[in-house]
Amino acid sequence: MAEKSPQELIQIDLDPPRRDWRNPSVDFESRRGTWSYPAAAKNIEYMGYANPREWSPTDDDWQLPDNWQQIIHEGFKERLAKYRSLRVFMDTCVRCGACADKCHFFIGSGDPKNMPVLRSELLRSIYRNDFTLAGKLLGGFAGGRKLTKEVLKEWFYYFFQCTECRRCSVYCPYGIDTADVTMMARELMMLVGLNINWICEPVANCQRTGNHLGIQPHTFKDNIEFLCEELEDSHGIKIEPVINKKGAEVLFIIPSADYFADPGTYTFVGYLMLFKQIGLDYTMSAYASEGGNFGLFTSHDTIKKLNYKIYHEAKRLGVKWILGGECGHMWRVMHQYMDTMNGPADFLEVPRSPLTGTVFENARATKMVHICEFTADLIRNKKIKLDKSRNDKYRVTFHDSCNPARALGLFEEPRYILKNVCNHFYEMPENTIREHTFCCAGGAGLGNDENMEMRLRGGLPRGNALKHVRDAHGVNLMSCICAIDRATLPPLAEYWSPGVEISGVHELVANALVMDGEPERTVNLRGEPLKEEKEGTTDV
Amino acid sequence: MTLMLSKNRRDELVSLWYDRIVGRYPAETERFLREQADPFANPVGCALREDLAPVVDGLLDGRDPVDLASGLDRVIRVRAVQDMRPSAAVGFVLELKEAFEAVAGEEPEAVRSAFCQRVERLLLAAFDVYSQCREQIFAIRVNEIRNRSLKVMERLNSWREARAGGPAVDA
Repeated sequence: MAEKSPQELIQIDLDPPRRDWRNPSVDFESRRGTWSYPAAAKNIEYMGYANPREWSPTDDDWQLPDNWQQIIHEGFKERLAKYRSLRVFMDTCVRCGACADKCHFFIGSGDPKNMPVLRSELLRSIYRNDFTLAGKLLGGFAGGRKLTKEVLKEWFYYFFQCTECRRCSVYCPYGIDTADVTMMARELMMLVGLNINWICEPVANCQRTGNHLGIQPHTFKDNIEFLCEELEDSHGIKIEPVINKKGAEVLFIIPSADYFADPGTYTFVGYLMLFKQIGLDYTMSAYASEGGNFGLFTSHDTIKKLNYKIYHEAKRLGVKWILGGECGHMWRVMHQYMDTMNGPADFLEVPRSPLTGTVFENARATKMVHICEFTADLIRNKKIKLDKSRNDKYRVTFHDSCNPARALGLFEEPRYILKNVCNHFYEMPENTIREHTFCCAGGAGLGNDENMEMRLRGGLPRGNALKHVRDAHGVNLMSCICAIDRATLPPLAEYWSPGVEISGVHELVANALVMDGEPERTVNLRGEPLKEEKEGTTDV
Repeated sequence: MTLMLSKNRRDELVSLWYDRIVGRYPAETERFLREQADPFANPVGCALREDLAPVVDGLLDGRDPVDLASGLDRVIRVRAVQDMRPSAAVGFVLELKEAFEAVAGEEPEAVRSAFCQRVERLLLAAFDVYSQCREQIFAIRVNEIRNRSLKVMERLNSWREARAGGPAVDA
């Protein structure tokens, strides 16, 4: 090969590809780190979904059924008839661009197909082509595209780059819910066997054992006892966790990551310390051992099925109402789907706090109360004693987790709690919190490690705001109320804002909680000294 | 040695470098990077607007390229995760050479060649920053699994062993 001159060698093509958005080709091989592994055949098979097989997005042949176009067309038609919202979302968009720059993935990646309007257009163009008169007559001139294998591959790439966080929907003047568009696109892909394993494995596990991790009842009990014994060893506080107790007043539902993965475990122990102190008559269920519902990222039928187990257990155990832990999308399912799918939960009572007498009217339909509502009510009614100074080593900010914020509207309660358990609390900039909050970029099944580059791209806006409060106020802890956040924010912070740790809200509640007869606290739940040790001073 | 450029030319150089960088993004993205002024709504555009000028000044002043490259950390950190080949991710530094030629073509040869050499050293230092970012991404990926679940598993297993009377003791 002829040797190249230095001038030739520095001729580097700096341009990202400029091309028409209608060109669907995606090179999966060169984009490793930005997509998730496909669902394993065993999980597809277990759930009875279509087309179980082992395959990879880098394969030329995705082993689709021969009539895959017809299957998707029929599936699309069925859903347009079934969900009026889908037809409205397909027809209504005027491409005003209000949503275009609101997606964390677009802001971080600079890829126009991450603009919510354009991502939706990937589906909408097929709708136009197949289901509108203009599209049928004019095709591409009316913004229609034919559904080819390349288009389907593009769907797989981009609809698994949406975390269904619904930030874009906040800005849409027509109220188009882009997360719903993504959900529909994912449902259609499921019909021909396209889904990712980080979603399908938790779904299959959840159907089999009641939680995403596939933990069986005896291990569930074991894990929880272990965490309680750890607490007893480190703090001298003895907790006897309650599991599967019939006739308890309250069924407590948690995300499985809280009893199986750090830093959620500290929050989990925090819940139980609070319950011990106030003497709550509660039980957990070894069968409804998961708050999360990955059906939300799979299909409406699966949402319904996985949600039902909570109510089934509530009935079996004969509780009066349900208390839910710091979980994210569980609350979207509860608030926006549960009552339609599995309601009415008329065998339960409208939740009433046994400590304060407060009736949670807002939970009249689902009979399920968020633990932040419950704890905020305890604090407001002075039912618990708190020593804020035990959290003095932390300078805390609060990340509004997408679903509790935008689907449930839970803005004030966690802040009220944090301000009562910490002396140092700082807000991130206004356009990055509350309903404007930026996603962790790992929700909706995308929080897997093979997708790390995409997660970090999408994590930039949150990381950037976090870095701002770290630099301005010395923030060293970001608290949140979502198990996926607690799993996905630590890498985000490490890359974009190093030096900031992640916690749940009830970890900080438990640090500050003054319990009857407790030994003097010297360390927090992480086993770290309550106060920063000053150099040069020693105990004598 | 400080290379002298008039204030106008220095500003023009910064602006041309910025234009060349944002001009490489797709048209829709370029418009957004230029027009959205809020630093929290547009962190990439903001980093480019804020971080390029000090680097240009530093190069003219003859400051250490390693220090200057760390001033480009925000820009490079983003490019390390964006959809770019490594050459393009750090190649934006070379754009500064071309921008300089366009702005300061009439400067004496000695000034032009000194500036170009400094840009080349900056390019190498930028590649170090880029490599650190990439290594960090891979380390984060590996450690995530360990931190998230394996630590708890290890503690849990020790607890189970202790409960069962302790692990088999090595001879």
